[in-house]
Amino acid sequence: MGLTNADSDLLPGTLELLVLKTLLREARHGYGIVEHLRVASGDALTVGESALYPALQRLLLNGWVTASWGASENNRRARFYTITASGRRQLEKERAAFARRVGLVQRVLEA
Amino acid sequence: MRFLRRLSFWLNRRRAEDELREEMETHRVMREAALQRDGAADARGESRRALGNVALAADDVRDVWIWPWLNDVVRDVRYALRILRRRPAFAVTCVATIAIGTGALTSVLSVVHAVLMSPPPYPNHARIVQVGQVVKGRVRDEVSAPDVLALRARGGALSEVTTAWTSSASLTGGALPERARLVYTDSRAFSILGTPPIAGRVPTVADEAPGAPPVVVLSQSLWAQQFASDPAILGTSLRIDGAGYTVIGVMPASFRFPAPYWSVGDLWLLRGATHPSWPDLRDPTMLAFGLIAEGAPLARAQQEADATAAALDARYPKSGTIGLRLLPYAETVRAGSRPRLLLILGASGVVLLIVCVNIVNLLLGRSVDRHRELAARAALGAGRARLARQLITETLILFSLGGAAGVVLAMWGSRAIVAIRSFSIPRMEEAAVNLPVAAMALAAVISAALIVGSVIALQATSGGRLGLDDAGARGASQGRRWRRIQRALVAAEVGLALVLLCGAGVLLEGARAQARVDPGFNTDGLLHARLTLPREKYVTLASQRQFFDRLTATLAAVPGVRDAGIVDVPPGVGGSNAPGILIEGEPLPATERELRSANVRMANAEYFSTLGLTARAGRLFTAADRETTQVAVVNEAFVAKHLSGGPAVGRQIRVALRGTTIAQAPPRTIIGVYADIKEKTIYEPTPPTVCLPIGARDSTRMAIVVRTDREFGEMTPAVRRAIADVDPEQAAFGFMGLGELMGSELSLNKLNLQLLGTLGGVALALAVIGVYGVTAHAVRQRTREIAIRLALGITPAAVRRLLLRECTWLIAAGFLGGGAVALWSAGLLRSLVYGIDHTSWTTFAAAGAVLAVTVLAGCYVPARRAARVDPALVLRSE
Repeated sequence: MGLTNADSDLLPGTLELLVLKTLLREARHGYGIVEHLRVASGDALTVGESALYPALQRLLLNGWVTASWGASENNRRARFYTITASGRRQLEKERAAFARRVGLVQRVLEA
Repeated sequence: MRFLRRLSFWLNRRRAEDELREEMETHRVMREAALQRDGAADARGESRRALGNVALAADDVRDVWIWPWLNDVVRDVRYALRILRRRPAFAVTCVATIAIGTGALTSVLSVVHAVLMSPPPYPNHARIVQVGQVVKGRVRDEVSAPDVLALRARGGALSEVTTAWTSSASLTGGALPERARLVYTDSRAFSILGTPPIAGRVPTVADEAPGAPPVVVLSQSLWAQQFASDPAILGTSLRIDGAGYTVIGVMPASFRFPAPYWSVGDLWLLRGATHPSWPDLRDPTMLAFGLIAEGAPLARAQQEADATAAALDARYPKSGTIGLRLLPYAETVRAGSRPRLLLILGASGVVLLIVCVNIVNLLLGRSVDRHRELAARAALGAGRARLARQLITETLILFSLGGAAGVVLAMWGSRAIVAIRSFSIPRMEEAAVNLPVAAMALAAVISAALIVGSVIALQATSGGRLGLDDAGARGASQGRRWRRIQRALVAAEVGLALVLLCGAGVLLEGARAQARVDPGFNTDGLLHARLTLPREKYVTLASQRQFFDRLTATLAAVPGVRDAGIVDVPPGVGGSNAPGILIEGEPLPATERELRSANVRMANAEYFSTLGLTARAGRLFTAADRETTQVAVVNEAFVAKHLSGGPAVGRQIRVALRGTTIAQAPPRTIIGVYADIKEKTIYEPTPPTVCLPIGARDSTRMAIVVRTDREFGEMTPAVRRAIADVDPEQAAFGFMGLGELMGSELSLNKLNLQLLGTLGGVALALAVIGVYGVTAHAVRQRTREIAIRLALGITPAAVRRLLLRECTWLIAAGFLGGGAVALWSAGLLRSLVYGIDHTSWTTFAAAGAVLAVTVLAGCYVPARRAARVDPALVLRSE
């Protein structure tokens, strides 16, 4: 358990990338993020809370997202996360880096 | 940014954890709802299981924010301490340098804090204002009785107004008759200031009622000196100028009303702002202080005062336009000390700057040496930010140690500054290294550390790859840029030291100019004291004269007294006193204003002999010269100005003494001429002066001048006793050496001189250390180059010359920049110091020469070492 509790089918650091991407279009609360990831991955990706919340805190610490309390769709108090400008920049950077890494692995595998 | 976010998380960690818990519970509830929708049997339990361990998640979150970071800090600190321990000499040099810089800054800060930043010690100080008249844009300290009455009648935001004026009187009832300083005020003063008495009570309105017994409040120092702090004094009666007053209370030493900071009163008596016999005029005669009502803004009180002033202008059209200004109490006194203190503060800041430059140089030198270590750590996976933080941590540790040592040093330094005893700066004696002072100093040190550390970190991690392979090559190419910066820093350091040395030189020149001023007579062993006869007791001029005749005779018989004379205004006291005079034979001008004028003083025969003055023409006074003989003695300046240098003895003059017109004044015969002396302070030119015998006009306020071989401290009680022998109720005050009185400005500049001199010396030492360090380092780095040169046949002397030439360039560059600043700051200093009215090139040249020679000596040592390099040994080792 602990920080490494990210799903083993994810490369390290990828969860943050996916969360940032999830927040790109709209602000979401934790459950919303998990649901979006599940739906977007075709039910393949289920992120545990014990991995999600530390990841969100890391994003907060780096100033890539901000959090504010608001009302959820069924009127519960929920914490919504919004991506910041530097978060968007980070997403672009990570996206490029990820593509490079995957491409690299791909090339080696196909060689 | 990240640090601030971490900090705010840490500060709000309890709330953050609660929020996390709530957030995760919300998450669970949403999942439960979803599961229910999907028809799960145990939606609640399943959602719980999916959530996992909330406490553990909270731990993980805390880890994100705090632990790894704190861990790294602890590791950095440990590592840094290990590194510093490995080179103790280096660490000690750095810490000592920083300690000196911090010590200087903190000592000065302690004074600045006490004088400029501490509020007056009164409970209500923030709401107290001093009221002043504004005439033609200039603010006067004093106001008139009608102003006070009008402000009181108006009320409003200015809820209370009290008045004060000072006087002095003979006090009997204590150990010896004492001249006491009186403050006439009213009971409002005590309620406005709010200071509680240390014994007895403060006056109330009841004490001011007509017919109430007169009361007096004592100062703590008078209570201690005259009554041995005996509480039994309360309720007893004191005689003040012959009238009886009941002692009701004693105020603590912090109560210095009406001045905010320095003591002006020994006794407080109650006296209303008006008196039936006073003329109803808006002449400024008293100080006034007001209390702003709680919660009311000063601006509103000022608006109301403006309206009051306008109404008064209408009522007293003859006085013209007189405004009223409310000044915050604390602001009224600081203005005078501010420029001088800020000057010294600036100088100590410059010293700290030099310290920083030195530390940067020392660290730069070392971090080039440490390149191999840093490269190894980079190779093992330490990021650039990690290495930078390591270096900043090291710098922070050095500065923290040095800063702490400096603050301890300052405890001594602060006392040393206070011991200089500059009388002109109020509250200086309160200077101490307290918590706010230490906090300010440490803030300065930490900022310096962060700047220095960033520079070092930037240098160490800049320039691309941190590879092990280029560690050697780096010395040549990468090092060159940083060596340039290093040398620029040394040049800057030399420049800053030049500024401080020139400043100290200018002040020294001022002090010497003041010491050179010849007062015109020998001031050695001249003691002076003042006394004021009560006019009720010595009504006639003849009785006043008689008193002083007897006093002169009594004083002459006191053992240790060689000569003793009487004068109304002794040399050393400034101020203007120039009544109109008329040279007999000249036509009477149309108005008194067109008369010639001269400084007029009254003196007896012994005054001249005590000062050692002799007649240049005719004779000086004798005991036979009385007011009735209508004689006068003049100085040479008088003869030159008013008699065109012609013969003076036998000429007749009239002097329009106060209260008489020139036509009423009797003609007086000039019987002699004496040589010019400094009649006022040593800074003022000798005015044309006429001396008249004592008794020519009111002679109640006079001064004694005594020449003695003994210590002044020993003579003071003897002189007091002699006065008491003549009149047991008569006191003397203001005992002081006449030389000190005339040159009292010297003690004022002494503070600047000693402090700036010390700071200049420290700067010089630091500049030498800096130059030595850089040269030594350059030599170490260039050992190979020098060895090759030597192997190729260049002589050791040429190597020395080469290195010294580089040093000379550094010094020249420093002088160019520093010289310009020094010239500018010298102009600033001149405005603060008497005696220098032009830039003295010799001072600058001397300061420059001292600096250049010392710094070159600092270069010479490593240069000589370089020339002794054995080329064979060095080249073989490569």
